[in-house]
Amino acid sequence: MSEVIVVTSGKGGVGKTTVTANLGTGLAKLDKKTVLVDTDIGLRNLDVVMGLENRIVYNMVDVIEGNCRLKQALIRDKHIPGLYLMPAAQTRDKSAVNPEQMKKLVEELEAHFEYIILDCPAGIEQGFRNAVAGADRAIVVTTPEVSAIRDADRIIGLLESGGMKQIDLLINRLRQEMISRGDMMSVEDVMEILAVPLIGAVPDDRSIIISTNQGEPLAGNDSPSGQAFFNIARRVTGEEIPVPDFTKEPSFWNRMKEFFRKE
Amino acid sequence: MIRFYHDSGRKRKTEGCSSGKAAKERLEMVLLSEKMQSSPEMMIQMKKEIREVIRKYLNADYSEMNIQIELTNDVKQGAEHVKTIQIKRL
Repeated sequence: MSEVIVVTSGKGGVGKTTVTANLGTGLAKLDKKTVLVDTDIGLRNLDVVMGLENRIVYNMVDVIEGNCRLKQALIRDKHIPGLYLMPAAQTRDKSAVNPEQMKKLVEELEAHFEYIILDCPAGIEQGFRNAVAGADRAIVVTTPEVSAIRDADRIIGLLESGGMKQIDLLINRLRQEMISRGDMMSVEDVMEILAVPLIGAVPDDRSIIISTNQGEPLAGNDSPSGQAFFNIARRVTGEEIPVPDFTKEPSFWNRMKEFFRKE
Repeated sequence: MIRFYHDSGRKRKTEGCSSGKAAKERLEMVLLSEKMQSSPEMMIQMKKEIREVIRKYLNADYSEMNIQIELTNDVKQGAEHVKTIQIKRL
């Protein structure tokens, strides 16, 4: 029995692709056979975030149009066994695929994988409708900013009216020191506004930029965001792990860490 | 469900420092007016009129009354469109 999860947000630049790459990495590290599907036709990026850009021969549109077999378009991850990428086409646009074709593709993938993660393009147009079509559940990514939250609210509304069975919220790029100062909305503030269950909260962390530069997702390593992403993967599999409280005053120890990081 | 309530006397904390709280209040207002298909100005006008109505019938000085309007999915209290007015004096 496999699970199909779409990672979506409405607004661009909030970290959908980073979340997809790290969630997939986390799930594969938990020994779940996982495929990441980049549905952003024309603006593919998941391949570079995963560091697999040089291995692409065939893509999702090739599979859908019958130019190759499913397995020919699947790229095996460099490090983690059981993790695969299906890249988007770069020279086509969103209209190359329709929701029915996407559903069929996902059904084929379900025979081979435990988790199928769909990286959704920004916006609410055809690309979004395609990505959402085959999914059982959605993870809505937002940051604690007014524009991202407003778009997340709209996306949640669209997912609900489209009959999405499960919708979870992921809050990305939290800055604990700004929240304690009152200059950033907290996890609780965002949850109050969006009223969907929280699957995780990820701190803003410079190691995520380094990881993206290197094309190596960091879920499971000892950085704060690596830990947060790994915990999200575990929650996705059904484990119950509490989300750390970002509203609390930072402890003495964390203040010291923050102090030394500034140096 | 729409819930009206106020906390009179409590000084609003938004003035001055906390921009996070200002962000939250602006967001709540814009999302609420979108969902009610009304403009933020009309929401402000509605609050003003609600304040007048409460002042007229409840014979009390609620000059510092802060009215919040929120949409909730909580249908535990019965029908979906019950309007409750909670007045809590501090």
